[in-house]
Amino acid sequence: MHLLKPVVNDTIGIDDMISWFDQKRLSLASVMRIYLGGYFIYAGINKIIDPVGFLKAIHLYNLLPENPSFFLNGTAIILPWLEIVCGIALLIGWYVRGAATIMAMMLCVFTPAIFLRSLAVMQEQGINFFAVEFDCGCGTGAEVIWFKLCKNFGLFTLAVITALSRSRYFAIEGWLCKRAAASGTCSIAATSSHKSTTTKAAVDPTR
Amino acid sequence: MIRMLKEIVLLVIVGTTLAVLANAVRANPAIKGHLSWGRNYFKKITLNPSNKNNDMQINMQTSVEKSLKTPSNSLKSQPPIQPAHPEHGFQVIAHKDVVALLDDPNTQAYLNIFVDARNDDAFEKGHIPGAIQADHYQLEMYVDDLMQFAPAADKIVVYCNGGECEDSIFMCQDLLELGIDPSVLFLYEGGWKAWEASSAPIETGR
Repeated sequence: MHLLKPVVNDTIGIDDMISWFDQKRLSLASVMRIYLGGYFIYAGINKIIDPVGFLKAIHLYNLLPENPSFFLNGTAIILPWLEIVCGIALLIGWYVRGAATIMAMMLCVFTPAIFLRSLAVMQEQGINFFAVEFDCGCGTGAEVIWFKLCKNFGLFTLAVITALSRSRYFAIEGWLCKRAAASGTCSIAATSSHKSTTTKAAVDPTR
Repeated sequence: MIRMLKEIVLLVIVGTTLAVLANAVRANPAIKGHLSWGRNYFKKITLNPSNKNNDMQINMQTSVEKSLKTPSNSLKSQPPIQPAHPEHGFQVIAHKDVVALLDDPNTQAYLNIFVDARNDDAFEKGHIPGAIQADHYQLEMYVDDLMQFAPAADKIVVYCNGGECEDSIFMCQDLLELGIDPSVLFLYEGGWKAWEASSAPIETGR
């Protein structure tokens, strides 16, 4: 009589595949977020260890006036701590959009400044652009500048993706979102489980 | 959007607060790395080389007379009067003259002093024997040591890393502001790079 048992379709459906890819995409965004957070914490700590080195580096960019010195010195004092705070925010997944946006803005300011400085160094030393190497004050020591610029472009892309992403795996925001799901105020992906328990409740109008 | 702006403002407030507190804590001499909010670390005093040369020659003569009165009478090691540098106006001293100063008995008597304007790490890794460290960016921590010897010195040779390093120029300006006569200030432009590249002796540690 078991032949009369209904046939179960155990093939993977298109919906399952979309769900799986969606899950992976969201996980990748979280990995990016954590990497970005870790990177900025590392860079921030190195700048805090050597504040004078960082001050000298930003002075070389001529972005800020020497007089009044409050702006230049203030940037050297505040920026590393801001990086660390944003890095921690990304790492733990708290205020992710704000932190990623701040990082993208910082990269937007400093990457062209590094490029302009590299052109000046190239002219001063009469060397090829690909041979230009200096400490850009990025907290990672002296680096080959073309590679640094590529790295910054990559970091900027990561920051933009993180700012736009709904992914909150391994994140405090995700955990809070799961709790808030019942009240229908969370629209972000908030689980690390492979089985989709993603919260997609009513869209929060403030987001 | 509004929520994102709120997040940005809050993160900036937290970051700034931590930075201000940390910088205040670092003002303690035991914890280094304090930066002043208002001090212009990159201020450049432009000395007038043409006027200064005259004064300097007079002062150098006084300096020579002074050294004649000292027991060593070591005129042979007196660095030649150098023209003031067109950019910063300080006298520069050549590498061979700095090496010669090391053997001068006046150096042992702290009448010739070497001022290392680099940071702690660089100084501890190696410096000219007998050099006094005085980091321009943390001057308040070194000013007592410096002023113990600098006012009585006949020659003060200031150096930093060499090359593009400007810290030795800033240090010379600090010394001027501390009341040191410009005629006794000598800028060793080759700096640590030139010293290290030569076979000159090196002292490590503090």
